[in-house]
Amino acid sequence: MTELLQQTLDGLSAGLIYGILALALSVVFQGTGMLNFAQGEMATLSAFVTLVFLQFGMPFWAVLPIVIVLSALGGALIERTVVRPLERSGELPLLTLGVALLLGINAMMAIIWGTNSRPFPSPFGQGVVTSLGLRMTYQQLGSLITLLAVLTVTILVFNRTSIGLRLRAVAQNPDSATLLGQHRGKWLMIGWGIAAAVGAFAALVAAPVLTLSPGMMTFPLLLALAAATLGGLTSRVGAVVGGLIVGVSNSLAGRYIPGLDGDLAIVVPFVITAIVVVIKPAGIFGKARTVRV
Amino acid sequence: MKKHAAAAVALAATMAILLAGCTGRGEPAQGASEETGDIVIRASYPLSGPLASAGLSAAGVTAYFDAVNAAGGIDGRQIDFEAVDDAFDPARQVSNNQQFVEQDDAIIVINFGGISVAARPPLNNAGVAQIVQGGETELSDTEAFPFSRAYVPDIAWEGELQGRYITETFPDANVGFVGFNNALADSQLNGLEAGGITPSTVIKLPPGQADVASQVTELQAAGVDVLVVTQGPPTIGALLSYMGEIGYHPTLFIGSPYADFASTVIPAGADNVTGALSYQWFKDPQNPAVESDEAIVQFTEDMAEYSPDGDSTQTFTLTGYGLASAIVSALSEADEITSEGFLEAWDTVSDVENPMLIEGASLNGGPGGRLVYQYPPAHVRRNELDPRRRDRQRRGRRHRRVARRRARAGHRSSCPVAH
Amino acid sequence: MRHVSRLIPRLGWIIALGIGVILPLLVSDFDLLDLSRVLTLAMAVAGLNLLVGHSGQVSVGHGAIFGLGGYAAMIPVVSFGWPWWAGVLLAAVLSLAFGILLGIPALKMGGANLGLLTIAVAVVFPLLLIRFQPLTGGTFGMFLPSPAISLPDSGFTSRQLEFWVCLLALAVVFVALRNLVHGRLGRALAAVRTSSLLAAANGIAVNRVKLIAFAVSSTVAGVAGALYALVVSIAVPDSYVFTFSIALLAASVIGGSRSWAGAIIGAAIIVYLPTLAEAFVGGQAAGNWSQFVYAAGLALCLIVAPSGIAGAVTSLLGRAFAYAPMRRAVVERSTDMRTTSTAP
Repeated sequence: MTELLQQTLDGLSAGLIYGILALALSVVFQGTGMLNFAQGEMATLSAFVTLVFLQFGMPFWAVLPIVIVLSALGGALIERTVVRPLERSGELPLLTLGVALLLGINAMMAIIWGTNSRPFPSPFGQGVVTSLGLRMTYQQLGSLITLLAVLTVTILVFNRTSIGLRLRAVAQNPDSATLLGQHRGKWLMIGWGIAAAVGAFAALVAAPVLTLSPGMMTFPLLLALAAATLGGLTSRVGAVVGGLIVGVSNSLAGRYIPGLDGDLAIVVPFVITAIVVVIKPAGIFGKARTVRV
Repeated sequence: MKKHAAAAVALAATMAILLAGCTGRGEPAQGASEETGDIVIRASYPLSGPLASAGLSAAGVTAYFDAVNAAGGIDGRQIDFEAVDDAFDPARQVSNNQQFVEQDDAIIVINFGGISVAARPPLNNAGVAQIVQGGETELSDTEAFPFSRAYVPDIAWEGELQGRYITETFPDANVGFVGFNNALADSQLNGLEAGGITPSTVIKLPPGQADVASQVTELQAAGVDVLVVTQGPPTIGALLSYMGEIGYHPTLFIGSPYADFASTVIPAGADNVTGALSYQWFKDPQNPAVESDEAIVQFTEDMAEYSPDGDSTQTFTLTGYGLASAIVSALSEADEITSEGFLEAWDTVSDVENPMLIEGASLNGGPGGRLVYQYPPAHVRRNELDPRRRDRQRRGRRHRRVARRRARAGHRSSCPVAH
Repeated sequence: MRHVSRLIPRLGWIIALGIGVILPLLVSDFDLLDLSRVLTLAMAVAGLNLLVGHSGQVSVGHGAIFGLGGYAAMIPVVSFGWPWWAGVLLAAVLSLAFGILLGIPALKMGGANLGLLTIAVAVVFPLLLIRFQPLTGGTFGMFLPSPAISLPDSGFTSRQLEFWVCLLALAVVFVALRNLVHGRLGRALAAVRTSSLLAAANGIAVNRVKLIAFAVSSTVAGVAGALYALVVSIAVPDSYVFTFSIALLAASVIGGSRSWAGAIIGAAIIVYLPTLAEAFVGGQAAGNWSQFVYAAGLALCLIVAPSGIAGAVTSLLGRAFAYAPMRRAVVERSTDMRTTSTAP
């Protein structure tokens, strides 16, 4: 029984990473209708930049705001330079562009920092909290708090500020928004900036656990894609809940379903996602888009 | 209709560009490995992609061959070496190999990893020597594939040694195993079984999966107190640092391919691997203990001079350097510089020194065409020396030497990874 | 005039085919290997084009279907001594069945959801191959002891024969897909792509049409995979990883997902661009640089020609061609005038 609970807790901890990354995916998707395959590599890049600052001897909490701002600027820059020309070419060229970005950023990181994995200090310190025979590391608890904070801020930005309002307007009906004087490109750029900043948090939550290397987010990205689809690509809460479901189901399946083990366990979150979207195509929290003929 | 015409023109243009790069039929091969020409050696490595870290070996190979060339080559003949990227795509490896055989007229082809197993037939049909940098047992099948050899030791041997050591030292151990979801793990598990150990918990993970909290919980709940880990980065570092953080400390065996600073000690944190056991046979260029080692100094110098873009701090680079050295050793002994002559010499090398091997170890041709790395630690020398070896020692040959049989490689030495 | 303009593209394809037929007599076996890889990949990309370009469905999992075809051909040929063409037939049947199996849930999904389902297939496929070791050969996969496509006494090498087989298969696939797209199914697909509601209102069985597209696309990819595996003589899990599926999709988009010529161009890009990038960068320590150049090349292709290279060249040449008929018409009229003037 204790092991079952601990496995669930372990799955939740892993799900935190998928959840934040899924959140970033959903922000870009809502803006452009693009599944950004490069989101994971962009996040990893943020983690490498953080490490560079840390090596200068700066304290983590001073580096954090700098990295978040730099990530946002980087995301906006990518939108402005390479995504902009393809903005109106439909989802397939954008999907393919994401692949090119993934390969390019991955190669760039390997060139600059090498392919070895390196330790990344936990901002929350080393240690374990134990209660009722269950444990969580400081890092896992800190990640949970980070996730809740990022989620809250993102929801506030989207639902309570004029920035969010305009972002949603541009996303839902680009033509009308343009007619109303909202420059579509500008708001998409801002959307990419926000997504990159959220992604940076994902990397900072992941790097101390996974150790930092250019390929760090390759595997989490796949599960984050499942998480975002499961929870609903248009819903921020959905992305996070999706991440947690994916994490827990992956962990429990690997342990308790005979024959799946550590490698095939990922089948289970994918199957759950497929069943959910067959029943509810917009995902658990997603709003179905009405189609006008 | 105009559209289609234009598309056809575009297609024709593409074809023209492609064909311009093609070689005609019947054109002679470019490399000429006759009696006096250059010795053509080619390599296909994953220079890019997820296994690019293994591709670092290519720089080490280049440095060694260039150093040999600068010193006058082998019997006055230069080595013509080139490494090509396959990104660990099996089809690209097959394509590269065909180019090496057909266009470059190579006599030795170096391949990397498990995908080389399927690439054996074309090279064997062409009668070109294939040296694979890989520890899988399948590569020992020299009966079916007489032109294929493996460079690193069979991981099953290591598994057997680990099994025997665990059986003797921790008779009541509850053994766990963490490895890749591939044949390397199967080979090692077979070896462990041969050594009398069947792990109670076996966890296999695909490369790149590093979130292992759930797996650690499983091992701990199963009561595992001796853990054998042969997983590469990033998983091994994440695994061991997490185990350290939560205070789970079974006796650790780290598989020799990953028992180095870059793969394990640095990402896991030195504290978390102190006291871990490993069978070591190669030097780790990042290990401060071998900093002033003659061969390592030479290696660093050669790298700086001939492969300045390479990374001389990586074990894979040194492995490539050592592999090149083993090839040169065999070529210098070969009666004739052909694929057959080379392989014959490779199989019968005896007590050859190699820059990557730890102090006192030497290369010897062994079963399955594998080069065995042998050295007798003090313990073995005292108790288990067989008469043949003692005779040889009496004959005044170098003392650190064991018989060629694989079982004798069963030394009992274990050394902590972290120094 | 009309049949001349209809003849030009036909002529283009006939010339291309003609070059293809004599090619094996001209270039080396090594080049034929890579060119055969291009042909088989082009076949898979053409199948993907039917799905992506004509039916409007996304598949990120065609690499797995390509692999399924490869294994379906290699297992009977290697383990049970079947002739190679029987392996290809089995691959066709199995990939058709798999296409239908995958197509049914796909009907319920669109856009991103279908993308995810196919991603899952692409990710899990190599893991399953490793697991089912007794059948698939596990990590090491299947390999032919010697080339399967050969005629010992013909004087032709296996590489030459393989190229001709692939060329023939590609030609058949192109003609079949073209007829399909120009026929009733194609019009139905176009209607569904534009608006599935509208299509349904006009009496098109939307689900059936989509499922047929999925099944045909899958069969073509499976046959292509079978030939690819037979040509390279191996089927290994590492060939069919997720990045390969992505590369196929990229080839379809970059070549132009509505163009059959684009399929060949896209396939040629994914086979040759990495090698060209390596040659461009030079030096063996530069593997990551060549990946970088490859990525930049992909991005550049997209930005320069979002609707595919074939499409871009078409519109470019189309503009150039636009003047030609006009000029010709002027010339014709003047000749006519001359005839009339001399007649009386």
